[in-house]
Order: sequence, then C-alpha cells, then structure tokens
Amino acid sequence: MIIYGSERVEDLSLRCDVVVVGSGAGGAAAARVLAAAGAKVVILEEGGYHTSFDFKQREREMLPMLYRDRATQRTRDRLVNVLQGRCVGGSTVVNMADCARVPRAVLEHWQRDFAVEIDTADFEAASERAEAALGVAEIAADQLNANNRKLLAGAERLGWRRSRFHHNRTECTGCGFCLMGCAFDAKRSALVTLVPAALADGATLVSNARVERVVVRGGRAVGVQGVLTEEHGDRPAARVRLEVAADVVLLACGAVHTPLLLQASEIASASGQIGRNLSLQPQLPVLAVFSERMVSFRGIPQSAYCDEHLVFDPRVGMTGFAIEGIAGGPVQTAGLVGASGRDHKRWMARFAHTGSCLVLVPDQPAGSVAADETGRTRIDYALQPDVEQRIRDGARAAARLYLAAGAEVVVPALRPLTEIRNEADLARLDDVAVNPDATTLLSAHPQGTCRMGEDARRAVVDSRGRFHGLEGLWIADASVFPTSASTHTMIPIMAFADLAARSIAQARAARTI
Amino acid sequence: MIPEIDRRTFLRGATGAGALLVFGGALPLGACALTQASDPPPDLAVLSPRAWATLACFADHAIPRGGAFEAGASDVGVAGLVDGWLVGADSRLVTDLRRGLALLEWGPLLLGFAARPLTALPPESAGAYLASLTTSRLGFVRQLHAALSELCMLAFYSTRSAWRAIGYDGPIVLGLAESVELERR
Repeated sequence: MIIYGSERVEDLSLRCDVVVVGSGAGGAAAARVLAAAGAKVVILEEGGYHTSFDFKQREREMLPMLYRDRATQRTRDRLVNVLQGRCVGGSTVVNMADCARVPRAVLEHWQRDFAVEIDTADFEAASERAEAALGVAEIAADQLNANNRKLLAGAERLGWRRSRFHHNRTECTGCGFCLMGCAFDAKRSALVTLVPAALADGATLVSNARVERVVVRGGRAVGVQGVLTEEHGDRPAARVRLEVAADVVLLACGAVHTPLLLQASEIASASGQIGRNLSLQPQLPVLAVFSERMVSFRGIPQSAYCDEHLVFDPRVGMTGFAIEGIAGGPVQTAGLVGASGRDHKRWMARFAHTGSCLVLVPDQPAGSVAADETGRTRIDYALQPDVEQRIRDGARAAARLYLAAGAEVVVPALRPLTEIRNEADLARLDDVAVNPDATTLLSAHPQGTCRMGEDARRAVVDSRGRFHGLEGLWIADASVFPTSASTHTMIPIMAFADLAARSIAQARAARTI
Repeated sequence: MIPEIDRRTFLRGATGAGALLVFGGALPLGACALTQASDPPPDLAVLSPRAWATLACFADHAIPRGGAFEAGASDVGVAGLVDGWLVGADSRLVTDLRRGLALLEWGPLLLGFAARPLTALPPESAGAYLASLTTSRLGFVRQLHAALSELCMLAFYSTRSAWRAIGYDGPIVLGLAESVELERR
C-alpha cells in the first residue's frame, strides 16, 4: 500500500513490526528483506513518490524534485557540494548506477581496526543478493560513449590500469539523463526494484513523511513521530501529524540525516561518535575539449574508470585516487568552467566537443554533521593536506590521460581557469589551491557518522546495525561505515542493510525483540 | 549555494554605511546601465524589483551578449527565470540570496568603489566593480560572486536559446510545461 503523504488530510497513526525511515539503498534493501520474512513493515520517505513519468530530463525541474535542497547542499565552508536524493528510492534514483563492492582489503581494515565482526563470506553473499536484485552486469564495450572510450584509450596509451563499470541498467536507451531520474526505467533503482518488492510482500510506503524524532520509552525505541508535508518545496510545509508505533525502528536516512535525527531525538551514544567521522570521498571534475564532436551528454555517462593510482594502505585503508568518466547536462557543465563572461561562453560553445571525468579521492574521516540553532544542517569538513595533494595529483593524472587520448586542452574545475595543452603545462597544477575560492568539489558518497563496531565505547552500532545501548533501534545506511568504503556506495549499503535486516528477522523469529 | 550572510557578516561588509543599507531600499531604482534587460516582470514571485535589477545586471556581466555565440542573459531573462526557480526554495536560501543581492547592489558604496549603487553605474564601472569581487579580500564576497554565477548559469543553460548555441539537442521527453500545453490543446 502506498500512502501519499501530500494528499493526506487527517493525522496518520500506524502500528507495525518495523518502521524503516528512508527508502534509499539502505531502507529499501532492509524493507524488502523484512517484508519477505513476514514482518509488517512501514517505510517512511521524506521526499515525494515520483515515477519515470515525472522524470522530464530538465535540470531546472528535476533538481528541486529529486535532490535534497535542490542539489545545493554544501559543507559549511562551501567547498564540497554534497549530493543526496530526496524521493522514494533516494539516491539510487539519481545516481550513476555504478555497482561496486567494498574492496576486500577495506573490509579487512574495518574488521581488524574497528572491531567489525562481519564475516567476509557473509558480506560477499549479501553483495551478490543486492546485485541480483538490481540485475547488475558489466557495461558492454559497445555501450561506451565517446568520452568513456577516450578515457580508456588514454589510459591504455599510458599503460594505466583501467576497466568498465558494472551497472544496474537493462535495455538502456543511452539518453544520458541518469542524474535526472531514468525516464525509461532502464536504471533498476530501488524505486523500481526493492520498493515494489517490499510493497508486494505487504509493506506500506508513506511518501512526504518527515520524521522529526524517534520515540523512546522504557529504555527502548518504540516508534517515530513527524509530519506529512506538502508536495513541493525544499522544506515543504507540514499538513498533518504522523505517528508510527513499532517494535523496531530502523534508520536509513543517510550519513547526513541519520545522525541529525538521533540528535533531534536526544539519543546519545556512549561512544560520543554520533555525527562524527564523516567521510565525503570528494571528487574533482576535469573537462577536456577535443577537435571532434564528442556528444558526451548522450550514452551512459559513467561507464569506464582508471584505477592505476588507487592503492591500499593497511594503516588507513584505500588511498590514492581513481579517474572516472562522467557527463552532465549544460547546467552542470557550465558550473564547472572556472571562467566568467565571454571566456565562459567560449568554453560552453565547445560543449558538444567536451569530455569530462571525476577524480575520486578516498578520504579519511574528517568531518561532522549537526544542526544549528535554526535547524539548518551543518556539514563541517576539513580537507586534509594529503587529500588536497591527491586531488592535485589526480588532476594532473587526468590531464595527462586526456592529452594522451588526443585532447586539445584540459581544464580541471578550478578558478581561475587553468588550461593544460601539453605535458609542460602540467606543472601549472603543482601548486593550485583546493579551497572554496578555487573550486567546488562534489560528494555523492557521504559516509561514516554512526560508525559500527563491537566496542560500544568506540562505535554507535554493532556489526549488524544494532544501536549500542538502546533496544529496538537499528541503523542501515552509509553512516555505519567506519571509514570510506572507497568506492561507489550503493551495493555496499544494500549489502549491509541486507545483513542488518536478516538479523532483525532472526531476532523476531527467536522472539528476542 | 549562496554563502550564508548573517547579520554580523552583513554589517561587517557594510561598516560605516548601516544607515544607507537601512534606508537604501527607499531610494528610487536606477536602470542598470550594464544590463540590456527592460523593466522587471510584473509577476515576480520571490525577488523585489531592485533585487531583480541587481541580479539582471550581474547576469549580463556573467553571460554577456556576443562572443562565441550571440545570446546572452538578457535575451532569455535570466533574472526572471531565477525568480521562478526560487519558488518553493528553502526560505533561508532565499534570505541569503536577498541579502547577497543587497550587498551586491550597495557594494560600490560600501566597498568604496563608487558613489552609486551597482544598478546606477555606467557599464564600464559596473563591469569593473563586478570583476573586482572575484579578488575581494572578503571571502564571502568572492563566494557570493561564484554562487550568483552558478545561479545565472543554471537559468541560462536551461533555455533552448542556450542549447541551440552550444550544440545541445536537449531532452528527449516532453517537459512539464510542454506536457501541460499539450494537454490544454
């Protein structure tokens, strides 16, 4: 059953076994498992219920509809644009559909250094189940667009390691609007896979449901309270009250909003780690102009990558950087060109000849989230010197790669515009600043603000997402990752949520919940 | 998107000119010499006429006519498009934008650049003033310039005029406006 919160005229009060807050990768995966296990599940989603019919491929219309804060959410210093979906299906609706598992070395790092007791084989099996649910397959060579072919060609000429992504698209038309929601349902997001599966097994979905607090009574979480809101607006007005009583409260609001909800509910952790240890896995866009027409905005935007410079450091996990193909529409591309006036127009006139990539830098936890006195989300993030250096190194490497692929000129998304036309120009990137004046980094993978581990003095939840010190409360999203998963996070989140949900189902069967 | 300009920051930018800011809103709106834009649209939803004029002036600086292609911000009414885009935006974002535009308008006086607001400056002075903001010693002024540029880009490059100019063939499904129009027919 679907309850459209924006159409509700009376207060809504529900009772269920498990209330899942959030319908993205974590919430949808958990809800599917729990509903299949026979639990009465209610899924609450702050955003609206939009289907492919609503996805109009226009940035101006889709950003307010599908993204939190119309894709303007930033760290407090404005350096990093933190992108998150806000709609049924969450970020899986607007992501690049890349499917990668947590590198085994990273999982071992979590097991060894953060007392994470997840069996490697269990996590692999959960990842496989997630991939099966989404229909994951390697992107075929004939699906690469010109930009991604250039990326692979450049890497090949330099002798760098490279590959094609795995993805969750089927019968993709190659229209290129993945970031605006798929108008053809080719992207097998949670919206068209896990959520419908949960609904088919009896779950109830409530859209436009803004949860304001977790209700705690008698030393355990017993439900949530909030409001159902209007459809439109960044902070849509409340219409009626919402209350859901449940045996289990499972939070899957993402690494920014799960800790905020805990803080708003005055739920503390003995570890003191709620809202801390934020990783953003920042990304620097790099543009390249070719003499030939590229039409990078068509085809699968992100289908190839170069991981030559990604290395594992046993002390801190993954380090170095990866270079990944990317493409956006005119609005997104225009925002990356660090010029103004006619100089900017000169670049945009070459839009159809432009290719682009992202330098993705696995980072160490270096941030926090909290709400200020007005309720505004505060994302603080301190770019660490080694991350800044790796961003510079990555920009140089991406420029080399595109030059090797035949680019006329390469420009990282830096202000002022820094044009790289040959190897000698690469030195111009040696000392560029990476600060809010100079660039806007992107983050599509915030993680780590309610880290997991068996030691309640160091972790917020245990290795299955159970909150240390408060019965009935679980977390199943990227906030539990102790450090950056160092890859695209959809499959890792789904795999963890799958395991968390199975633990809840087992506990319910054993009547220990 | 827009840097937060709280009261303290705003006044820091306005040192010695608080009264001007307070009463500035009562001054007659000058025609922006830089902009090609005409009068404010009668149906502004979020921006005041002065804020609209300030943004139109900035937009013409960020996306002027001519150069690699002819179309510029005033040809598509960027400031009006931004006004429409802001409908439904978080009120705190709108407040930040209004404050930012007020600072931009009165900046020539506040920053000692000229004795007139932005919209009353001759074109060369307005251009020089806006360009100078990118190297301001005040971080929030530099960031305001960057944020307003992004906003203008969003509006301009969402239009068919811009798409034609840059070789972009646009979406392949009907937009909301087209769908409504089709249904109406």
